[in-house]
Amino acid sequence: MSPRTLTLAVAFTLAASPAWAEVCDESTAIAESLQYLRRLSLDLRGRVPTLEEQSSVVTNGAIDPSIIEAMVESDDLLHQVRRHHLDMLWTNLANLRITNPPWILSPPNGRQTAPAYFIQAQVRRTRYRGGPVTCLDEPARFDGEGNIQTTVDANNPNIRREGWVEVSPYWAPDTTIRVCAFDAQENLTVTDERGNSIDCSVNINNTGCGCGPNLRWCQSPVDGTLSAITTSMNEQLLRYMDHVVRDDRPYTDVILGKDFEIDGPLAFWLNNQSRTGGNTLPAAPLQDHPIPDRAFTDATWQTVQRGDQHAGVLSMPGYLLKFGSNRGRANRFYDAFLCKHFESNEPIPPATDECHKEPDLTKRCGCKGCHLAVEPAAAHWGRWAEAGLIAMTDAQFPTYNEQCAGRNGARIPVCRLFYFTEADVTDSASESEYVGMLRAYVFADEARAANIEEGPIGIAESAVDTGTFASCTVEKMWTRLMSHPPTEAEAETVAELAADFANGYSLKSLIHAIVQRPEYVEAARGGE
Amino acid sequence: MNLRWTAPLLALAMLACDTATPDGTPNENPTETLYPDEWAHAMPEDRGTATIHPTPVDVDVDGRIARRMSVDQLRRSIPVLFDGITWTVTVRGREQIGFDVLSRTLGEADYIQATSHNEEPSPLFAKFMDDMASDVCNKAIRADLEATAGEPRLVIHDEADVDATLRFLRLKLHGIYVPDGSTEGLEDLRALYDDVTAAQGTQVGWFSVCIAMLTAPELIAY
Repeated sequence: MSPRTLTLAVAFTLAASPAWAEVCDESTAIAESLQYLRRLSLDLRGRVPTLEEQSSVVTNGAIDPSIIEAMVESDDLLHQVRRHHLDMLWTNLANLRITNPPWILSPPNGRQTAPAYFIQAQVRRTRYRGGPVTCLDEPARFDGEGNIQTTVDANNPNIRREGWVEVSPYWAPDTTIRVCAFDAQENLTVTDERGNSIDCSVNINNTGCGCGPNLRWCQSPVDGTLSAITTSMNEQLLRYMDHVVRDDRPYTDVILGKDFEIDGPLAFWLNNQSRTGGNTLPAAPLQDHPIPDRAFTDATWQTVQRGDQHAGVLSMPGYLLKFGSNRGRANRFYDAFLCKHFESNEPIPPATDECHKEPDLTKRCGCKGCHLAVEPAAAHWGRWAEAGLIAMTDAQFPTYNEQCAGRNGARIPVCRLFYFTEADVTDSASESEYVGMLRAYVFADEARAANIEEGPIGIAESAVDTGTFASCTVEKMWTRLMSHPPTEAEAETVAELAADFANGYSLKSLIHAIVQRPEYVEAARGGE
Repeated sequence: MNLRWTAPLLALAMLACDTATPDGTPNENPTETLYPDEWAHAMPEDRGTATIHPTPVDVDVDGRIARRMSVDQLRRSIPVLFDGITWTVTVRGREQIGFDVLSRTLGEADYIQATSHNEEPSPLFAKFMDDMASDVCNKAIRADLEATAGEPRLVIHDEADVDATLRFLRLKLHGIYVPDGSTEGLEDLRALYDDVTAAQGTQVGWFSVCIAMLTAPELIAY
């Protein structure tokens, strides 16, 4: 017998013995437990386990169940859940334009051309000074009545320039900056030449209006005011979902809850700056919740109870401004909370077909395949401003507005933005009856009108009541942890998990249950 | 076998199969046809029906599928493995965390330009993981060499016992336990260490082993 044959024979003999089998089993158990620990740690904490944790598995031969429980209760899990919610709701408003150039301050550039903060928009500069110039590099002068004194330009008699003033800006109240005196004007209102009172917080055309006290109506991008506001909008939505999970509240609160938190930048923006968005971002302090009076620099979060128009994240700025149209809001809701999407299978007739002229999308060929469902769902956001942020109560925005129905309706800003006017009519036969109606009501039958009045809470409650929300939540979490959507073979398991989940809606318990399923525990080892 | 170069390729080959996804073509046979509003709030039945599709499932699997670690998991794991050391790159004279600066390049969604993560083990990803491993291993080994006696080491656990150090690294980085006396799964790493050490000394030997293990599928996939 050769040495090789002898070795093999010894190996077989050893392998067949009970003692060796025990060693093999133990070794396999340790290997599987280590990989299970690694999988749990990466999925639940977002990082690999420590050497000490792995050594404990080697010593004990298995994972102590308390390790899993500790992971589920850890702050690291909240980080992972936040990643899950980001993937669902795409929460990032960093590219959102929330104001217009006439409300944006540019910093001094260190040269004579801009010795102080100033508003670069032509409309302001030309009205203030007669041309596209900034102020002089000298302290501003005022007459006995407080009017700004100007110096006529030596080369252009149409240009009159003022000096600068020192201001404590709202974004850094303990400091002072130099701001061109016209731009820094603090008047809340002025009277125009016709004797009308002008609200300076929304007016850019009157030379007596500037950025207001402490520059409260203007933004300074270089000082981070814009990014602070959009960051707060993102954080507001995500921390709300974090808290629902952290405090083990029913996960249904994500779409049904009426509370939320608000911080300084958001409250300050809503109170002072939200109306400066104009057509770019129609917004207002009308939010169907109290807005606390907070300093912009106050980074703490304060809980606020919201009114009937609200529904969890579905009416938060982070959702409404990310998905600007009501159809977009409904579409994201279907995808994120119902695990369904719209996709038309209907063949589209040639472009020459008359059917394409049908203005009602629930009737138009090629469109109705989806819009029969999209329109009633979108109607739930019908009393939230599109591409903006206003809770449009019936008192402020009646369903029918006679002014908007008039011949000049389209010239009235509120009509142009929110109402169907004559200027929008392309097919008199079917559209005329809707002139003067709030846009959401155009082509709306009684049932759809009821959806509008219900608000997003209506579609959210239906999703919960039908069990779709529970099954979709389980499906999404299963997909995240198993790396694939549930297969047909797994459907029964997922249904059982959904039934359990619906008994209390604890997301932590759901996660705990999934990671203890054999499909997860006995998964193929990564890297092999 | 030079693990530094083969490990990423093995990872690519393996994960390319593991992470196969549905091709995204429209689901032509929806499993349910529903009325416009499935909760009967608004049901203009006279206009026909709308079709709402469930998420298509096109996988034939049993249990959980192994997948590549995400950028965020790497961002959070590397400091855990190396006592706070992480991958940094210098951008315009400032040292910044590589996982953050190159987030989009590495396939992480920003939810503005990209709304889903690209977790394919692409050649580009493998290239940057090589960069990451090189930077992190360099710092970790330098820290080991500067450590005083008795201080725990990050990579060179026991300079005098190469196999013991490889066992230590195998457990720490890959979650694979190699019992004392066994060299199962360590042979290639030992050969790599011996080859490089013979040519360029122990420091470079450990550097090569560290890079090979950080770019190995056993670390990147789970």
